[in-house]
Amino acid sequence: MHMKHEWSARERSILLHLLATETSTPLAEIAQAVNLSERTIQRERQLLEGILREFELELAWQRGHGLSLIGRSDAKQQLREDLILSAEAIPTAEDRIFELAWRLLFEKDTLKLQAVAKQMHVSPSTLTQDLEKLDRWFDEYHLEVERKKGVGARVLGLEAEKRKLMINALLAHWDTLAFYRFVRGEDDYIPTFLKTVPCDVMLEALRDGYDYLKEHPYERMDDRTIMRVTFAYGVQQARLDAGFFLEMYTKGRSDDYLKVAFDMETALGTPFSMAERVWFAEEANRLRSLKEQMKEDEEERWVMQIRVHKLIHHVSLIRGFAFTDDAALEKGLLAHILSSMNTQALPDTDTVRPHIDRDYPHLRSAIQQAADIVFGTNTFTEEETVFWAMHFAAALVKPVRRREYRALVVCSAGLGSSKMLVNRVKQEFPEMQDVVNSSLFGLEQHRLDDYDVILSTVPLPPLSVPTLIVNPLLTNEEVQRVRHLLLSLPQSFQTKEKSHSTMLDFNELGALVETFERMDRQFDLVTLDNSDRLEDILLDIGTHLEERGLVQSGIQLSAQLLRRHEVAGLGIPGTKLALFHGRHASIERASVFAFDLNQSIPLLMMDQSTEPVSRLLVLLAPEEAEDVELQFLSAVSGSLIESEQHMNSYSNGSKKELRLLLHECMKKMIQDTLHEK
Amino acid sequence: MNVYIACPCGFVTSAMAAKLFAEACSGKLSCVIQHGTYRDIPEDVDWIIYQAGTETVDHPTAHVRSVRHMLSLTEYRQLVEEWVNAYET
Repeated sequence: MHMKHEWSARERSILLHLLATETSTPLAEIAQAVNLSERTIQRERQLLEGILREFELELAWQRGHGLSLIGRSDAKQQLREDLILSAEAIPTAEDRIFELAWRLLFEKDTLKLQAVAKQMHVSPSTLTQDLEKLDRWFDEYHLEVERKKGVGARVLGLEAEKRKLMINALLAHWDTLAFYRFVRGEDDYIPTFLKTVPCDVMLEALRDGYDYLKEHPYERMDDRTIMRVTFAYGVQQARLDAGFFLEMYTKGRSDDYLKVAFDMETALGTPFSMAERVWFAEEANRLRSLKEQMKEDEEERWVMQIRVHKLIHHVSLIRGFAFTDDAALEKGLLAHILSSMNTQALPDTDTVRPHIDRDYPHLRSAIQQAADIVFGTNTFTEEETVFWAMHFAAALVKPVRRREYRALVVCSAGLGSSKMLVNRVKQEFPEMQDVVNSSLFGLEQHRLDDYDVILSTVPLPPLSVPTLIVNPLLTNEEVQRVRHLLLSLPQSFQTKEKSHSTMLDFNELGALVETFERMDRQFDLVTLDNSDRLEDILLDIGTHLEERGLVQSGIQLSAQLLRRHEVAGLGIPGTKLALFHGRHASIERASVFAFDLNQSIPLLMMDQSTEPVSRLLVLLAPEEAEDVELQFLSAVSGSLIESEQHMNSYSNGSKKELRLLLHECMKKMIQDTLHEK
Repeated sequence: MNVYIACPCGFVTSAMAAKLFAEACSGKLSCVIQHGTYRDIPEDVDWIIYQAGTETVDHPTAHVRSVRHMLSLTEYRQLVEEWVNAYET
């Protein structure tokens, strides 16, 4: 059995992006697609290499070309499935409602809401809200949740409707891929809401039912239909086992499928009553034709809606773009799929296809992959998915109204006249909050696509962005011209930057806090009873740090620090502080330490002068230090020269004052991380 | 413009130098300043600054410039001045 790996959101997005491309992908491209920095991806790369070996895949890195996944296509498919299925693992509010529905439907008496709230780890008020949502859903099946104060709740309605609701819930929430993994014996792949309710009888019946059905040829053997009939069998067994019988069932139409029901009950040794047999025959009748069934069942719309929602979710994961926020896409796609179910012939897609593939590379393959997962392989034709791609493509180019414009102001030197122009532009166009100036020489350093308009005091070569030549003083007439130009800009203009999700990256924040907590705990101010020889002092320091487990060899460290000092002085002129630092394989953990000397010694300063020093601040990092550690050490170094007051605190402050300074750097980094998201 | 300031360990001298360099650039030169070790010099960089006599820095496209003192604001002001005169006017 294949091991299920716990993927982080970050790992998942990087790998799905790589799986969607055949050739090497530059780091910058991956970084932009998945909203991470190149450094982060480099770091993840090293971690991923090991994990990918389990999948018999190699993550190849070639400088200048980027990353690529190398391995057999079935290994890639296995990885893709694993990544996508792991994304489903976290229970959602929707899962909670389904769980509640399940508990209600399997309750013989009344369900005590207080007790259920406790079992489900939610407050009674949350449960009450969930019940309200449930009412609307149950209503579609003519079911009613009757509440009695102090007693509980129970479901009123026909057993056949209850079963229909359960089958549809399973159909909507059980991904085809996960379902097939489950029936092959992998217990993890059941919908989240089933994980917390007793449903062993059903699960066992599903496997039996599937084993029976797959061995028999029917007219319609697509994944979805097989799943539906299997669910009918599983639900029926679970209901019978729990003592819920059909009152009466007379809807039977198809004699052929009465035989299927009869054969199946004989084969699996579970004799039905006549009503049960007719009911199951009706369900098995679906093996007839998917399209006819779609026409017949109103509730299919509801199932399809959830499936479309899932399709969009999977395409977003594979493609690395959040289509999920787009309600219009979901609506459009649903309408299209439902109407095409009733259409025999689809329009010819030959002319559209090349355009889609040229303008949106990999989009169709992402949709195809997602469709296979959600609807099962080959449920929809390739023709059909070309139309879906048009819906997704429309979402990619959808106009987004921008609140402010960005202008690039250019003059020959990028100094005097462009500064003047910048001020004039800001004065005249308060909506243009982002005004950047550049010299003619520096123009190529800017990503022009990031700007809405370029205003220049000198003639420019033809550029991709609307450009106006103006006087540095920006006359009134020119103001009008610029205004006209702005008005004529398409509303659809978007910057290259994708809108960032407002979700917190708990992993990143967690790593940050964990690192800071450790460094804060390790930090200490130690007074040394020192000699006047630097070598002895450094050896003392090395031994000290070795004892604390921060370095492997105190001797090696002291030699390193001494050498570093000899290359260039480490004292900070005008203070009594020297900044000893190193990055070396023998250093175990990144750390900040301070050592006070009970007698000051003369040391070489950074400006090559010599001055007395009475405190050594030691900053250390291992060769393979984490980015966050290096950033923090850099922040401490920067904070030293930030102000005279800081410098003074670092040179003379108590342990508490030094810790406060370190905490200030940490806070700033956390704030930066939050703002970046 | 991308400026990279290099030092042996990448988190003390170059971090402080980056701060000083930013101060020297203020109002004169618009650039993105990064700092780090000699081996982490990015490909996409226009100007590399490092401490004279510590290392040999080579880059196919960037201007490479060593300074006598990594922590001298005066020296950085002078460098920026030279750059602006040479390339920006």
